[in-house]
Amino acid sequence: MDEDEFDAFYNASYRRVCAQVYAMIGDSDEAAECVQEAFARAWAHRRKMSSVDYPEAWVRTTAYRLAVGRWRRKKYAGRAADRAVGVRMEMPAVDETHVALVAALKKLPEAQRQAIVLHHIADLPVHQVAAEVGVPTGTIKARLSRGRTALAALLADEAPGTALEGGVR
Amino acid sequence: MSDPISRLDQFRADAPGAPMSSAAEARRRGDQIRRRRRALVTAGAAAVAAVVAGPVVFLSTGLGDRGVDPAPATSDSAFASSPADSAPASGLTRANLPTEDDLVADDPYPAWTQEQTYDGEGTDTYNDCLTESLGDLGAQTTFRRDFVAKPGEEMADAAGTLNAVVGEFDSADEARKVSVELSDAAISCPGVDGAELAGTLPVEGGVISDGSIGVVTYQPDDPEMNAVWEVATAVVSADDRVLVMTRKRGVQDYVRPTTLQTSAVNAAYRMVGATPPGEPSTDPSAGSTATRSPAKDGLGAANLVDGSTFPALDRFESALGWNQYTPTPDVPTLACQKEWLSSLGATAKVASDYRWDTDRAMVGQVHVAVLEFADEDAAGAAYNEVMEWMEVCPANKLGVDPTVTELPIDVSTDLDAGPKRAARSHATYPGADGGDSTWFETELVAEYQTRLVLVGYGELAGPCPPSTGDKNDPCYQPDQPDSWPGRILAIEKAAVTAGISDLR
Repeated sequence: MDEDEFDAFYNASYRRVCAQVYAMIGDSDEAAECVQEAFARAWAHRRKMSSVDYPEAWVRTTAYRLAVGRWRRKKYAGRAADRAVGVRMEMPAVDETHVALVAALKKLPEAQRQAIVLHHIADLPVHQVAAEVGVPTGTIKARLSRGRTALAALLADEAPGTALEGGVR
Repeated sequence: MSDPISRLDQFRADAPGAPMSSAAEARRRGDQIRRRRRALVTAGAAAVAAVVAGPVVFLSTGLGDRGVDPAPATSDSAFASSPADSAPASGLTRANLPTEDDLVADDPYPAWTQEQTYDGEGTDTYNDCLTESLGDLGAQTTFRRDFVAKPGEEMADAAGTLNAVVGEFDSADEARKVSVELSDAAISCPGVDGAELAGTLPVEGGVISDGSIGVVTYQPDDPEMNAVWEVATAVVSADDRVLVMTRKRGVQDYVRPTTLQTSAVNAAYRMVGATPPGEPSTDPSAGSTATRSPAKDGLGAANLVDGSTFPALDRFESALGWNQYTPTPDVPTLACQKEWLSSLGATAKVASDYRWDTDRAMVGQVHVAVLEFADEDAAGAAYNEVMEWMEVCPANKLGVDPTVTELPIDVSTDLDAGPKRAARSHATYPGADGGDSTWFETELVAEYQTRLVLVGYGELAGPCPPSTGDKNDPCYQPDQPDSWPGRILAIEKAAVTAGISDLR
């Protein structure tokens, strides 16, 4: 993967992956930083990336794992999370309905949230979600079904014009 | 608008939350990562070269490993290994380094084979957690021996690495101090930002003065999909010597712990010129069977129930189902147990442990132990002792105080295998969350000829127990499956049948 290929990959995927990771972790700043770091690692391993079937899935998974790792470190070790990218980025305003949706997603069990984000937001077919998560397709279908039901209930509880608690900082 | 699908579709279309940043910035950061990695590799090579002239610092990059396996004397994990003929060592030599025969391979990986031995090397370049060499810490003589999984065999590439560093100090006191210092470092893992402690286990008994195994995990700098690095570090002192054994690999979260403790004990014995007490290098825990003690005196894997036959804990969704694991630290087979099972005086034991996990926590656990005694009288006496534990619950191995909720009752006719005697009791103890969650444990002991089978089966619920289907019960929960009693009995039947299968 040369510079031009990487830039094209980055420009085509960055916003999309950011949104997906934001939906998964509920924090847009953190999502942006982790996705940026994941792309940096993709460039650092560009030779390997050339043989990866789904580079975007690689970046998404890496970013998600970075986010989880940073969260764990903050929670359990009391250490400051690493700030690999350094400068904190300026974030555009996020639509209130999206904030509410992300807040509702955040209330789902992690496995259900992951399945919903990968299927409905990353637009992956069920079998590909199953492959990425590493569970049978039947399990993904069950998680999707339960997750959608729970999400509908959470969104129905949402008062008109107000966002649910939690979500972005 | 509460339709989740349309909200999700709109979210996908808008792709909100994306910041303003450039591909060039990501490339600059990527180049920085590459430079740092190259610098580490270069420094690692320099360290190996410098050791000829003097002590160096541990430098490490690479895979991790989680490794804990049966403790020989201190728990239900395994039997005490009687100290072998421990002869005081005179001068550390290559003969005091571990060999393939000392190392326990773990399924599904092939056996370890010796790769290279380095004289005067007190560093473990593969251990990310240790930042000092044994030479730095005062060792007069040092060696390192590297092992790899037998090349060319299936899964060899995924087995990771195993290394042993051995050093001789001026005195036993000094060796023990260094051992404690290194054990602390292995647990805190100062060399890795973000390392998390996965568990510790003591290594005691026989010739060993001090010893422990620390296991940490951390995210890789070079991320592989769905894997974390695990580093298991055993630090053991015996006489005036210290052994540091490191097992590392990349693993997925659900992979069961590998074996390291028996290997460390064997290596410690050899380090001081004693005969290692352990089993040969073949894995005693191969497959889905005995993981916690070597099979001896007629007991073997066939005496342990296959967890894949357990009925599902259908109140909770689990991606893995019943999953065999090695508790770290070790746990008693029965919550009400007063002493480790080795106190019962059996001549052999095999044991296994399974857990059921949701995405968030362990919600089910099965602990099975099969004990063989010298004669029926000894088995009978042990049965009575276990019965007393189940009645009085003098537990002191779990760190909590279980409460007996149902005294033992005779269930021998409920079990297909037809044991001479069998009794079941119930106990509860608090869950780890500090809230209402409670472990509801069923404890069983069954006796047949010279053998006992113990089964501890726990499910997390609370404050009410899992539903029994009794609608008159004030705790009846109509939204739950009524499968709890059936599940208990099925697991007990299977465990007892397997436990005495060779006697019937």
